[in-house]
Amino acid sequence: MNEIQLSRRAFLRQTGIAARNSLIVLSLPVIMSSSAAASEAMLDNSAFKVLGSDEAREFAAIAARIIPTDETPGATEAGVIYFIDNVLGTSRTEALAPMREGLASLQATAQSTYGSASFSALTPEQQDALLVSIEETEFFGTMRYMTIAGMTLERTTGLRSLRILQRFRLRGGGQVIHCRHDDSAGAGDGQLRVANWLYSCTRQHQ
Amino acid sequence: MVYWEEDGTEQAQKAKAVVLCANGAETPRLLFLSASAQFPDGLANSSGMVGKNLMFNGSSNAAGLFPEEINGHKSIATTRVIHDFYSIDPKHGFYGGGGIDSRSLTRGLPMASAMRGGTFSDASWGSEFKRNLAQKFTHTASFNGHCTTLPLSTNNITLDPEVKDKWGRPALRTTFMNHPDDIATMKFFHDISMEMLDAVGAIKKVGSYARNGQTGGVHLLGTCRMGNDPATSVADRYNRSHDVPNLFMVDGGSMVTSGRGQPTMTIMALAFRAADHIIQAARRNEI
Repeated sequence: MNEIQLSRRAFLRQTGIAARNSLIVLSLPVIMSSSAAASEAMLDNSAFKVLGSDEAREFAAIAARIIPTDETPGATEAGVIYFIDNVLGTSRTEALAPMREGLASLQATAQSTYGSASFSALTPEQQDALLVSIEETEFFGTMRYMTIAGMTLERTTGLRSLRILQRFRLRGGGQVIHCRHDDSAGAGDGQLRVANWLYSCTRQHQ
Repeated sequence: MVYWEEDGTEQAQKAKAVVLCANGAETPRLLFLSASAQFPDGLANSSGMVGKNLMFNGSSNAAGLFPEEINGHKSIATTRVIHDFYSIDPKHGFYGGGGIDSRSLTRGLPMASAMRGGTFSDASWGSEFKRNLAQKFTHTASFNGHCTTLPLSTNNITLDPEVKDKWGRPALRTTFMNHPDDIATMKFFHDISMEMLDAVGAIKKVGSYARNGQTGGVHLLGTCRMGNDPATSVADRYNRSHDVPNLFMVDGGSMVTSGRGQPTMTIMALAFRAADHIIQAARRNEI
């Protein structure tokens, strides 16, 4: 009987599969408000709320492997680090200490494996190898969750998504994907383009 | 009735009738928390059936990837439920039944799809993940089985003896293990759904159901069961407590079987009947 009993944690994992081991699960309004605040902080080039510059660089480097910059923009261009800083500094302060511990542990592995405690200084291949080795940890799960949450919604498109969602719910039609991005198409704003990326990559032919 | 406001202020409210609709988990919890000298085992619980026979409805999922865009994210198919297996032929050797409908794995939300990632055992981060997301979201559809759960007194809602909620009150504790027939039913719907994906040309597919018998969900049924006999049921046919004549419990808890997947309309029908009964009883000055 014991082998089929689920632990409480495993149960939560199963029910929250989308969160994939994340210590943090955020509601849509929290993601939106944190995204809006992060956008402003990035545009104003503000100081981080809770992250030191060294650890911010390390977290940002991890985020940049989760959503890399390749043929399309990634976490770096989106300023995901501002989102992570905002979440850890406002709504989920309890996760800051475990995330710092997770980073310290990753840096210790980086030191023993590659002779450098700086994750951000490693090559992308070395970084990916390290991240694969911690893929099942809560630290990585939380980094993945925050990176994707920080990518997906941005102030303008976030609100737009919600409106579309409401319309979808009310009418029961398939309008979620058939949104248009007129207000960002001509904006020439790199951040808007980035924020639209995850959203628009699912667009239909129009 | 005595209750606490959010800030802890105690309030008392006189009422001719009280209708409790906190659904099949919090309703029994509140009844247990309302134990008194008069009702030592919990309010309305002289039968001992409060909290017992919890049912969630079984489920299965089968997702397929298709070479062409099939727009599975665009909502639940409106003419939806396949009822061919509403009552599974007893010759299969187990009791059960249900329906199959088609829903997006991620509620049709690009963001939820991104959060989930790796549906077909592929990358959940990195460049490959990005490319998969762009490609697979519009090329994925899934079939969901929704099926029976048998009532077992060992499946229940109780008060946790140790864990407290943030107000210091005993937390809700859920104990659950499906009957073997429930698991066989979920497997049946899983297997049929996988066959359907093959039949319609899926190039990859992935399926799941609770093989270990530990389902869970928001269908919270059976924990204040309805019946004619006060010794074996909590509420009468009008969702009225056998023990406390002016207490009505109107939610999924009154259902004695799980139905075949979607209990809301049944709960609503029972609520209309209970409301009508309350009005009639009030007119007769019985409450």
